Amino acid sequence: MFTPIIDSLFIFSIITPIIGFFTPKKSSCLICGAVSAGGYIISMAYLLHILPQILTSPIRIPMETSAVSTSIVIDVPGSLMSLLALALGLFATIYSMRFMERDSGTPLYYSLLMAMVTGIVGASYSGDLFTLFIFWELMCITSYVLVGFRRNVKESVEAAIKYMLMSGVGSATILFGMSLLYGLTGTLNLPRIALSLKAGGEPWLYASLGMLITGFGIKAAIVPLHVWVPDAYAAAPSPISAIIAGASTELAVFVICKLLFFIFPVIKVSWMEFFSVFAVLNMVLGNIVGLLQNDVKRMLAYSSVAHIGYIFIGIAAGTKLGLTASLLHMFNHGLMKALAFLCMGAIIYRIGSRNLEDMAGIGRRMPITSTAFTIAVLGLIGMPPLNGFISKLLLFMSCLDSGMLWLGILLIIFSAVSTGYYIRILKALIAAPRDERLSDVKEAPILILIPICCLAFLMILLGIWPDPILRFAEESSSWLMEVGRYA
Amino acid sequence: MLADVAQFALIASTIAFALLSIEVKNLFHAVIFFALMCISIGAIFWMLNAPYLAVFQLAIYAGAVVALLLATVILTVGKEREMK
Amino acid sequence: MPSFSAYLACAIILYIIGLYCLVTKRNLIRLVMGVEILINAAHINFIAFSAYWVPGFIDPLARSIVIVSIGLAGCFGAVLLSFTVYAYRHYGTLDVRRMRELRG
Repeated sequence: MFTPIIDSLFIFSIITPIIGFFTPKKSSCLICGAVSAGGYIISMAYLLHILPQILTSPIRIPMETSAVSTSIVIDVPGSLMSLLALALGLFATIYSMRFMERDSGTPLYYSLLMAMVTGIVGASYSGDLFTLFIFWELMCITSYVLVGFRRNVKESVEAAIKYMLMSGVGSATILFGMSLLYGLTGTLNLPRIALSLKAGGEPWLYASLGMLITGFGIKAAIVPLHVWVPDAYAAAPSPISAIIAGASTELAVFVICKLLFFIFPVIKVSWMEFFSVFAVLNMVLGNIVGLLQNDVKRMLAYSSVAHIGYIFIGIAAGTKLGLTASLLHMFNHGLMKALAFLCMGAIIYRIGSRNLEDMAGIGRRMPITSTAFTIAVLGLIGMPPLNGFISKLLLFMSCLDSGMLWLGILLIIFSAVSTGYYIRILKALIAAPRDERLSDVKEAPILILIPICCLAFLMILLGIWPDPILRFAEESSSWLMEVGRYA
Repeated sequence: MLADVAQFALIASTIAFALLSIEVKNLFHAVIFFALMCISIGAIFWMLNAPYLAVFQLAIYAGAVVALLLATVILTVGKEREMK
Repeated sequence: MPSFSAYLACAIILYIIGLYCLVTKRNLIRLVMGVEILINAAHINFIAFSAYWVPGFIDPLARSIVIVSIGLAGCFGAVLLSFTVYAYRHYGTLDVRRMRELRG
């Protein structure tokens, strides 16, 4: 059918509930989790196997162009995004084997999670807008069900409804924007649209661009459209929050990058200014409202909004260095935010509350989790030995490079402002416990600790030795900026 | 000539039914107008040389989605209450 | 055949009607209908563009996109409506402005 990367995910997402039907209720969570983890491992192994081949020339499926000319193109930028999604999916599955044991219907949970990761992988590999739309909708619809998975809890249902309404409008707007592009050029194949749009800046091009950015921007948490983010991230189960914050939002930003640099370089000057405005709005709102939160997951959600602002700085710069910095920060932020949400989930698993005051002094009781949480928070602030520092440094350098010094200064100022609320988390972890409530809290179980430790190790590794991922991001950005290499 | 008038009438009726379906106070009537709007969109597709598509539209939209909407209205609000 | 702008205007007016419904109405079921109206507007746009590009012939690409999108919109409506039923059981009302447990 498609490549083994997407095929194995599809097959395992169908096998898992069938196996779950035959296992006894008590151990169905563990067995189904193990089966679906196997799917992720097979997919990632194949991706790493064909990675050297992709660096020279992308693989096109189907091989020859047909009348309808839809295609999946396995290329370098898509591999960056799908590697992130597969890794986070694997970690979330191993994590859920212990975290979701008290919920009912877990075989279907694993199947939906795998379908969501399939959607993310397929959308990042899409060669034209039709395939992108299909996989995008697959990701969206499964994520609606996953956010509202605990349907007996009031706030899950409310968060899911708000998320669905806004994201549904986003999907409809994307479809309308695609229809305008189809009307202008007669095709939906991305390189062909780029080649046939060389001349002209008619008003319908602007309308189509506006609609596409609005539609994808609802998922990417651009500022006036970000209102679903705190509710959905807070009310979803923690592994789902980790995947949505770490992969789904990043995919939306990646698709915006791809569309902007492929299709719309004709009107380059206009959108660079727009994106600097979006970047500033995101940074301001994310950091300042984050200072007012007491619920840690909402705080992390607003910090996500702020980091999307940093990523947009790199896009607004418009140069190759800017795009490299954006892609690198996308990858790093996905890892850091997922680690933060998984650690918070481990704490919620033990104490049952999301509030900052209830967490005070938990560092002495759960040492490994708190160390990993500290690593995640330091990475988000941008401390040197971790990977967050490298991507923020590259973002600042790209601002200097393209002459937008004021954006770089705002980046540094708002990173400092964000330290205000990250320090509150660190203070809650290392303070002395207030009373005897936390006396019977033990360390998190081993299946929850494995993904947390792996992610923390990856963060430190990418901080000390950034060379491979930096070369990967540079190759991706050089492919993204030249459409001609695809046609 | 007749085809022209029919197409203009279908476009006008689509817009009219859409407006009616969101403005009417009774929920049941709103769903019925939504179904009529979907049927007229299906007729537009037929007149634009896409009969296969018209059948799909009628089957899924005016069939499944309207049935789900009616089921939801019955399960939640019932007959006697009128909501805005 | 009426001129092409008639269909384009119809799609844009339907889109605006859908957005108006989502912004001003409070009942959840009406909001679901608003999103479906939005999606239908995009479908009309696709088929209208494809019908006037080459007279008398619909591009198979446009037809396949609309068929897939009709199916996906049906899925979306089903998920949204099942969550509506759960919300009614929790809150006792379908009014969106009264569902405000999560604040800040």
